[in-house]
Amino acid sequence: MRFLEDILIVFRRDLKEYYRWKLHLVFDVLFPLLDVILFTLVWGSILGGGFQGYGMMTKENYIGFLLSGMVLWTFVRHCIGGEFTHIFVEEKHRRTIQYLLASPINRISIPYGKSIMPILRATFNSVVLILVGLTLGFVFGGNIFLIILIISLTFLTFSGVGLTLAALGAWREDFADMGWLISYSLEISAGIYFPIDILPANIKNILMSFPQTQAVQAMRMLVIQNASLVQLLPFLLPLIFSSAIMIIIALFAFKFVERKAILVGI
Amino acid sequence: MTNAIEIANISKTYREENPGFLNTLKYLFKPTYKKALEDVSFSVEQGEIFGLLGPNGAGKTTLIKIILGLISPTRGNIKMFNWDIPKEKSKVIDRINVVFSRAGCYWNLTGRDHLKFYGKIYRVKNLDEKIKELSELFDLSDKIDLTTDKYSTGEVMRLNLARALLNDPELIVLDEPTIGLDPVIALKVRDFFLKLNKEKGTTVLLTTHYMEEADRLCKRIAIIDDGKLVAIDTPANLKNKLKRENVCEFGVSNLTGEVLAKIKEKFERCTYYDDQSQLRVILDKLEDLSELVNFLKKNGVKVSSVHTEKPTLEDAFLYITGKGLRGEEDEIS
Repeated sequence: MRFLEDILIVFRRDLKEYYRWKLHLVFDVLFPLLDVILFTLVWGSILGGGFQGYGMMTKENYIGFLLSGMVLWTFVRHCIGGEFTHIFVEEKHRRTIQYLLASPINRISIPYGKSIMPILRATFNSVVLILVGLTLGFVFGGNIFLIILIISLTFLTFSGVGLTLAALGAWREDFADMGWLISYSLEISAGIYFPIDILPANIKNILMSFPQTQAVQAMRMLVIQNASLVQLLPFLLPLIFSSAIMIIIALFAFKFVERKAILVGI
Repeated sequence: MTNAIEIANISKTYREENPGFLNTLKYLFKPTYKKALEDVSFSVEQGEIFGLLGPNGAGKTTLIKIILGLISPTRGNIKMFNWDIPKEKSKVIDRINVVFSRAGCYWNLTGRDHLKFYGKIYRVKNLDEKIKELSELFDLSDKIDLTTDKYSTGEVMRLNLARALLNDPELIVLDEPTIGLDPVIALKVRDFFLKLNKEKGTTVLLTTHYMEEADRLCKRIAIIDDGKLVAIDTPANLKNKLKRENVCEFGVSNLTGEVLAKIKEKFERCTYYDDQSQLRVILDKLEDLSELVNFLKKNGVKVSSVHTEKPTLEDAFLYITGKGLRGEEDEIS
């Protein structure tokens, strides 16, 4: 019970910090909006036709092709490229971590509580993206529950990566900073802005074995081709497996840093 | 009565941290260790204000972190209200609170948000009333609804003091609580802790750089130097380790750091001066006085006056540790 209450306490604090700084909201509307304008209207007009016939992308579904990847990616970006990997580093810099650790707060509730705000922000970003897509006339296909399932599995996998980096970041800050690098690398390798089918076959095959690429492919199959659960299973099963592995690794990382902290302090 | 804190034979050895990647490999195969605390034992009675003094790097903060269960000792035991720390920390954690010298804040939150957050963690009842009471006590009522990035260093410290009192702790650990506060507020804070101790019987463990603060507040003081406990007694008894004739104050001119270093070398006793015109020396015996005067003259230092002084806690500290509170370099700067 205390664990759940503490999660809510941490989340409420983050929510207050969010709305006390009004620019947070402006950024959260503006960034996805600018992204989608740049990639759909500008690059779509220039390159859209050039990719004709690669993978699932056609000139007609270019907006949907991009948006389905971008919606999913907002969740990944909030897990590993944003504030999430810095949750402990930030508390260290503000010199508040020692007060938290000396208080009765349930320690594991801190990262759980702090993961709620990224989910909300990613959801908000996604809504902005979807609204733009609808305005531009794209009709989203696919079962809503399957969409939520793919987003959830992707979030679980990459929040595991994010939590691992966040926990290790409490020990060595470089790990937290690596989140940006990993996020950009994954973004490119997932083929968010281009069909990976344009790459040489061997590179494509390697990329297809990564969870980020499988998640994006599954999302596109669902949104563009209205795929069924059975058709998505080859993508979903590895995602389930990788999310379980990443959460276990994250818990080990957290325990490792907790042990390190009790030995030398953080 | 149960002691608030019981520390038995605490030692702490750190594996030294590695600056840089290449050194990481070097230290991995040939680690070096640093002793932060060595066989420290003492107890703090319930309702006592207990001072912990020591020069920078003496091990005070390490000891405080061990007491709070934030780091584990290499050897030894700690009990807080008879509960083993860190094993049974959860039994006492909501009965204690702490203020560290470098106060921390959530800069995008208001003072009220900040107190509410911690109040909820400690499950404080009537939180709004408590916040009102504490913000009035620490002169924060006007600023409590402003974000803390608009607070001065002193106000941040006062906010942290208010935070530390949210749960009405039975034991409060104060690590340099008046650092950065203006003298009026610092005095108010000292008075407040005396009152708190007197009226509610709150146990206070205090570390401070201000000797007058320790002298005024503490019932007993422990002095730690190089990780070892070198003295523990009441302020009066610590001062009584020196006689009036041991403490000499000279009015001087032309005194340089170089000469001061020579004095220290020759007399092997603690010497310090507040400015270029006053030299305060602790002598083992009165007979050393004439020798010191001759020595000063020989080194070009003009002596305008000599008189003995009543020993202060700072004199006692220097006598016991041979160091200033801010470290050796301060004495001859």
